[in-house]
Amino acid sequence: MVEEKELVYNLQSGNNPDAAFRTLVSQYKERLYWQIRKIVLNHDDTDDVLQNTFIKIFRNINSFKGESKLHTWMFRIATNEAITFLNLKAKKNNTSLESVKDHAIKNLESDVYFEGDALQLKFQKAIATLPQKQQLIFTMKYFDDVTYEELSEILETSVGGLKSSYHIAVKKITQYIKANETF
Amino acid sequence: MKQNKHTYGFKVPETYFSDFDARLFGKLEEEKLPTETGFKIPEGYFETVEESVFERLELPSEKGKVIPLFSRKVWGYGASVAASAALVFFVFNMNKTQPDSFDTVQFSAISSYIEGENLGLDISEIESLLNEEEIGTIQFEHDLVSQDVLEEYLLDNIDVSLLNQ
Repeated sequence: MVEEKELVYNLQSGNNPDAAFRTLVSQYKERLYWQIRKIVLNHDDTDDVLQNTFIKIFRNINSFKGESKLHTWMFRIATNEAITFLNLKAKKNNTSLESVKDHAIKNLESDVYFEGDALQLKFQKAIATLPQKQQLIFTMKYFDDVTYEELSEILETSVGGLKSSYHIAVKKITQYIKANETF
Repeated sequence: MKQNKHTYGFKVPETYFSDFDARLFGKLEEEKLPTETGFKIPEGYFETVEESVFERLELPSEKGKVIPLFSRKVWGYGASVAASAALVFFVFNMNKTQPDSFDTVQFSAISSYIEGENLGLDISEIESLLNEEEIGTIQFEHDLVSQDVLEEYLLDNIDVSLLNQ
């Protein structure tokens, strides 16, 4: 695995940036894919957003000033791209963001690339009820175990606020699952 | 209850013990949640996505160099002829028509174009175009939320026990 600093240097110095970009894509494609997938839910949409994310990274690498870690910066771009994608989808279909998300959740039941059981489906439905930012905080913390410090850099929110938001999210999710339990 | 003979000198946050049960049971509830998302991907997806990105960026493929049907030289001659013709056309028509300039575009048209998210810029790109002073002068839409609405929202959504920690 090539160190971030070395990658950034090779990408920005003009010393074979194409090869450096190949290394970057190879190293980060899976992490960024799952980050996006948890927001847009569907594989094909995730594929579009992932490609757009890498294109944006390639075109803007010179504006990366090293104030945060490279992967944090890329996570931020991926997150923004995913949210922009959902907003544009809502706009194109002349509907609200909530209804786009509802639709995506309903489609999960028949999605060939979703193999979750009833509880996992309910879990996804519960996550979808959270406000957008709380969803991001919860999924990144719960599934990827991103530290609060890193989350703070990605989402530009204080650590205290993130902790609070995460605990509220857990409460809302467990309440939703309990309320929708089938016996 | 008998007072301890020695004290440790340690302290705990004020509501630590009163909130402890709630936090512990919350944690136990969290552990009952599934640990996997249930999402899967098409077989071999991660091998193909790289090439799709490079194709869109027109980076040379690692699989093999593509040999163009026409050499660069031929395209070069064609391009030179086309450029000369365009230059002649431009010079002869320069005084006949007034070209559209940036000044003639309505401000509202620019603003609705940006609001329509047609610009394809994200917040980090916009941030890189502005200096700190300019960012400070921007009035965000969030500023328009009244104090009462903000307070009500915070009371409904903030986990008060965490504020005491």
